Amino acid sequence: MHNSKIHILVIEDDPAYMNLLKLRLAAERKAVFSAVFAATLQKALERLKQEPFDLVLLDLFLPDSSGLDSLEAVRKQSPHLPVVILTALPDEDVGLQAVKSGAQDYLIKGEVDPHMFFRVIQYALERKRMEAYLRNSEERTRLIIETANDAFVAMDSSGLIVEWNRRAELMFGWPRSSVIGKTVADVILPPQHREAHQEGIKHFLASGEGPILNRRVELNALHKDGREFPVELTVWPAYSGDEYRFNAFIHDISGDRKLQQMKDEFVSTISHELRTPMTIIREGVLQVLEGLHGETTENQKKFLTMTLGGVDRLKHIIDRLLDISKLESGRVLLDKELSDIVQIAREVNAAFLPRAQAKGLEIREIFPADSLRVYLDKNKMIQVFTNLMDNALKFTDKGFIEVSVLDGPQSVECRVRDTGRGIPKDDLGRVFSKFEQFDRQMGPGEKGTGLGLAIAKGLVESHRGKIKVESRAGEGTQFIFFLPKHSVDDIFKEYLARGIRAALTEKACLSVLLFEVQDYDSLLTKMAPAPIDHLLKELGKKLKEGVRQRVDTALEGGHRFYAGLPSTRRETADFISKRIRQVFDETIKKEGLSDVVRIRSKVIGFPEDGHTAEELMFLLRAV
Amino acid sequence: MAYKILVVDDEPHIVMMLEARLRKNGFEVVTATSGSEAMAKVKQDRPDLIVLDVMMPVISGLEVCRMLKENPVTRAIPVILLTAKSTERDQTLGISAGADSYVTKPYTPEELLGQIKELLER
Repeated sequence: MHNSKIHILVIEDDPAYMNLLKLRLAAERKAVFSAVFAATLQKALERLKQEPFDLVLLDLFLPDSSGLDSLEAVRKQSPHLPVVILTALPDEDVGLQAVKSGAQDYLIKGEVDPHMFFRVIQYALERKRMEAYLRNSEERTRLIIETANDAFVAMDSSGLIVEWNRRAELMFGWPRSSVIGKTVADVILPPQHREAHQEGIKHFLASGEGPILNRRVELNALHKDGREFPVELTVWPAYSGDEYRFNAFIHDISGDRKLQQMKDEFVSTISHELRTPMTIIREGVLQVLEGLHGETTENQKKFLTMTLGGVDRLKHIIDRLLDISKLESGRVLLDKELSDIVQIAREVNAAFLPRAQAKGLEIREIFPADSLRVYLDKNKMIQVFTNLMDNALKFTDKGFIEVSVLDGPQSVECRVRDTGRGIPKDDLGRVFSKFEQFDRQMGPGEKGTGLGLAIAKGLVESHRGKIKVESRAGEGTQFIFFLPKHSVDDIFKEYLARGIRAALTEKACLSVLLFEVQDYDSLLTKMAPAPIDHLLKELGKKLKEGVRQRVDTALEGGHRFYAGLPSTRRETADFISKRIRQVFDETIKKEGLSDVVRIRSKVIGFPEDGHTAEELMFLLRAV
Repeated sequence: MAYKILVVDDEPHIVMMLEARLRKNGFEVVTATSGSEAMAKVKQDRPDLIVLDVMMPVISGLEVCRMLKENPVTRAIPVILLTAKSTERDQTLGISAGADSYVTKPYTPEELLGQIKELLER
């Protein structure tokens, strides 16, 4: 509409009717019409070229054209204009035909009263507007998806690809035409994910549950050229008509990963760089303090001691930085062995007792089991307990700190609870993040790096455990972490799987050794456990020493000892096995247990004896 | 007769400190600030033990260590690697170069002296 007048082109050759329309249009009060009249199609088409109209009233029977040809011609000339047909025939069919061919509506001359006339025109205009709006909206959405910086992939409920935008073409290397109709599993998922994917779809369709839906998931995707690369994606289901569809936006994070790696290396390099000047400062100060370079006065000693304290704090911070950067880049190598976690908790409590007592705090222990052996890295676990205790002590001024270690079916649950200041609800989410030290009112000398809890979380998680915090401001805080109970067999199987993958990429071989105390269970019924335990510890030590020359793995779990020897051929592995056997036998003899303890040993190689971790484990354990 | 220790580090201050510390503990000290100087001093002074920094330009401590351990004449001299780097990988590299021990900076005097005593007593 221009000037809010509705500008109409009337294509009508009957002069009488033309006049009637003129009057009608002029008399209309609800809207203001301005009309242009054309008596032939030719003239009408010319007028259409010359000026913009809002609507066309078209008599189907014109001198130079008739029927739907006229309609077609007008629509061809101005496809976006709404057209209302005028027909003299009291024939619905013609009208309907016209609407099917693109007219908005039809009016039968002679049967139209003024109100209807106006209404039809209004509706026609409105409908046209809606059509245009929808088309635009669809265009816009399509444009958004098409030009999005992330790949957009949609999948139907049978797993077939139904949408694939430009970025998907670039990211995965497949043009659209090649992938529509193929399954998501075959095109973009690496083989190891395919089964879980099919299961996931089945499960969702059956139960409505989708653990990976509507959240950010990271996994490896497959490029056309065969290589895997890391992506982050969000999948959400859409139900339309009677079918489910799964939409996903996929983001390539190989760049992010690289950046993260660079950042970690940077932190690591800087931390290492700082160590040499720190050594100089520390040694220098220490030597003067010790009188190596002449007598020092009491006052000088005092200040030098302070300086030394400063350097030690610096060292502490740098160590933490390195810890956290190692944890983030996954470079923490856990030295796992069967350790008594209750004992670890006791040790840490004992170490903190003086500090607690100085603050007037009690340390309570809840250890229903007197000892609990779990497969974990002892030093790292000490660090976890230490960091949690340290935190508890910092923020507790009265009451007690309670440490519990509870056995569970699948995991061990450890708690450190305090009656301290507590953590306000808004801060709870940030507790485990780096450098978040809210509430700076700590006791004198109680400064920290803020990394302790983040490190504790990293360490617990690198044991495949979970940690959480519960707290109420003013009432106290409780940290709870769970450590899964792995059997040494599980751990070794994991190691084997990794080792095989590494051997595959390096086109090398891998040998594994097993040493087992035969009939261990019956042995325990015949003898006291203490000397056997001691022997097992000794054997464990000997094994570690025996394989130390190479970058190998030695694992012990109770009465079974595993050793993994990468890039070692069967012959060499046999030789090493014999050597260790000898050492074991000597040790057993030294303990005076040669009569009762017998060792069974086995050597297995990849790829000669098997290709998967399962196969190798099975062969190892088979007698 | 006092034991003779060769201290090698490209940082002259570290060398000075180590020297002072070791002298105080009754050791005789010879020093070098590069890999090539170290090899020369080994030949010339025949030390009983070598404290060797890993990160040195031109010839790294690892190479020096390897060369010493491959030579039958010098193989028996215990070598302690001193370094700022402390990752497991670096430790493995050190061990595979034949080092007898590994101390990270900043070291505590007790740690270093302890290692020295242990290696000399073997």
